[in-house]
Amino acid sequence: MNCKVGLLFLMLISAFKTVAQIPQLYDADYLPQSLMLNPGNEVDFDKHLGIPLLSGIGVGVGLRNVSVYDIFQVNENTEINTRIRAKADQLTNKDYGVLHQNLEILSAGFRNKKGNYISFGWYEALDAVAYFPKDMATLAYEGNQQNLGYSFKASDIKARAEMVSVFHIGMNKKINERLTLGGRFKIYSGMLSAESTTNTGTFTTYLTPDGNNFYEHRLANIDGGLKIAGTGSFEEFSQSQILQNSVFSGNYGAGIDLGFSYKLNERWGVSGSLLDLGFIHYSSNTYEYYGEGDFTFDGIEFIFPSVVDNNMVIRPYWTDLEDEFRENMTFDERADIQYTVLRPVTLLGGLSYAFGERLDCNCLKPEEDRFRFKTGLQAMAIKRPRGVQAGLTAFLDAPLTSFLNTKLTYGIDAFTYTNVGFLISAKIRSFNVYLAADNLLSYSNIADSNTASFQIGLQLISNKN
Amino acid sequence: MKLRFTHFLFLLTGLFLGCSEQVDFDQANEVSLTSTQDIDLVYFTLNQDTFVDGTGQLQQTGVVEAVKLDFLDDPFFQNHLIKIVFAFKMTNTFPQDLTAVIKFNDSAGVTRESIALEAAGSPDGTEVISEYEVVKEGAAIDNITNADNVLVEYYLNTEGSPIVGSLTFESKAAYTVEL
Repeated sequence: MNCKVGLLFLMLISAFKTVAQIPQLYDADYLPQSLMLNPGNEVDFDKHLGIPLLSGIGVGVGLRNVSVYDIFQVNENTEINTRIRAKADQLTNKDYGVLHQNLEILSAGFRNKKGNYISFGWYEALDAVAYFPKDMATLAYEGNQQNLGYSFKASDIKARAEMVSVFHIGMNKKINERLTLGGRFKIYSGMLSAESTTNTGTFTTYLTPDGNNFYEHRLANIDGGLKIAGTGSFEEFSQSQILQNSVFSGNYGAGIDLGFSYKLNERWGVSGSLLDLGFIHYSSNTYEYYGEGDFTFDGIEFIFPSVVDNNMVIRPYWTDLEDEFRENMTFDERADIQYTVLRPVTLLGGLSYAFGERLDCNCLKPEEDRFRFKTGLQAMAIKRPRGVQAGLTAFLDAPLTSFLNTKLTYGIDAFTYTNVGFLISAKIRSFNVYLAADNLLSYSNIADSNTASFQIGLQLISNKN
Repeated sequence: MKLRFTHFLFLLTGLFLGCSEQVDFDQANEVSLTSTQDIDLVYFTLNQDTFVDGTGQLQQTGVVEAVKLDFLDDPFFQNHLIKIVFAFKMTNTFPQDLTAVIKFNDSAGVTRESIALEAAGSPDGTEVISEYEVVKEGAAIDNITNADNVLVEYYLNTEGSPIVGSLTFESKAAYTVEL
């Protein structure tokens, strides 16, 4: 066991976060961050102020059906290229990796005179997803000769990365004793976007026993490329430009979060939310690398000089081929394009049941019954370029002491069926700190984990009474 | 159970101390990809008009045609190409044997590599198929990637029967690159 490597790896993946951490914060009504996952969550405090840049830091990574250990394990019996090849054979174009990172820059909230809770802030988030390009890998490893007649699909290339700066304001309103509704309005400033999600077309090699040559190679209906926004072309990439884009990117969008929570009775409750229903329109510092067209090739036909024709013209076969290719296929790049990207909309829902001893609640409604434990199920679905990424989580929420809340989760998702997560939140007077992590069972060999996430936040939380 | 804040900190520390069985990221330096793609090369058809005039009089016994293949001396191929497997198929109805010589010439006209093939004659005018597979590796690859044009020469063995018939030539190459 190498704990240093484990710690190093944990720090390494700290650059990212997966959606898997959502279950820990969802419905944690003692934390302001729960409002970011459900603006209609019941609010258990009157005021909060996040410690700037520290109120919400989330990082993580998820890899479906492959892990770092699968590739980089120390194993004298197999070499790394054999392991990569084996994984490439095993993975499909539905396997993917996701990276997510978020950083709350400012976060605050207060209850107004009407009793509604107003929250607002500014955060940065990076979300990236890349699918395994199965057909491209097969073509690279096996070659076309082993796959004659098979159409390698350009649509297998599907990846997107987006870094955004988000300014938001939301309101949470208790409609009655049972129902709480909430909404949040967001202004997005696109810091960096790279997108290659709409590729079409195929490459096929046909065996042609009755044709001119052994094969016919066909590029059909090729249309696709890579769009970049926020920094121009690869050559113009600039970190300072990306940071500047956090406020004045020229690439703006808007979106909303909606949510509710409803008490069925004193013990049962349901909740749900829809997050990031919005878009960003990119038009500043944009660039595109693209390809399109159709082309068929079966070799270069030599035309030997005929004695009868006495035709001794030297033919520029290669130049003719290049010209023909250019007439039919375009591979080029262009600046100043415009495109719109929908945000990765997220749907969350929860069903909870409270039980255990009744507590003296140091919260907004002391007259309300509050039970020591809360358990239930939470479901999550995120729209991804190739379908929906979903997960289901069971949880147990319990305050251990007057200052310590904990939440234990067990989830199944696209990455693992044994995702045990944990949230611990400590409140000392008005100061609150929380820490959440998931896939704890994998910590015995974190490199072999398909997913890991971690987040921490510090803020001031207070109640009037 | 009464928990103190120090217990909480201890728990935080524990969460950070995830362990890992041994991994070695230096293996990334050993990552390589060997890929082979099969691509058509040259094809053509020769008939008696290539060799005799309208009266059937032999005018030439050899023909040559060339193509400049710019990609051969491209730095990518020079650095990564490790093997070529050529495949040739000749379908001959000439009664005569034909000899093909494929030359890889550099820009100065020097032949760096060559391949000689024989197309067997057809005794009765039916199609006779001659197929060849030629593997080029090592120094031969260097020779080919230092060439920039390919010549195909055909020579007709004129002994025997009248020169009537045709020959179709098909070729492809399986390029193996190591990245």
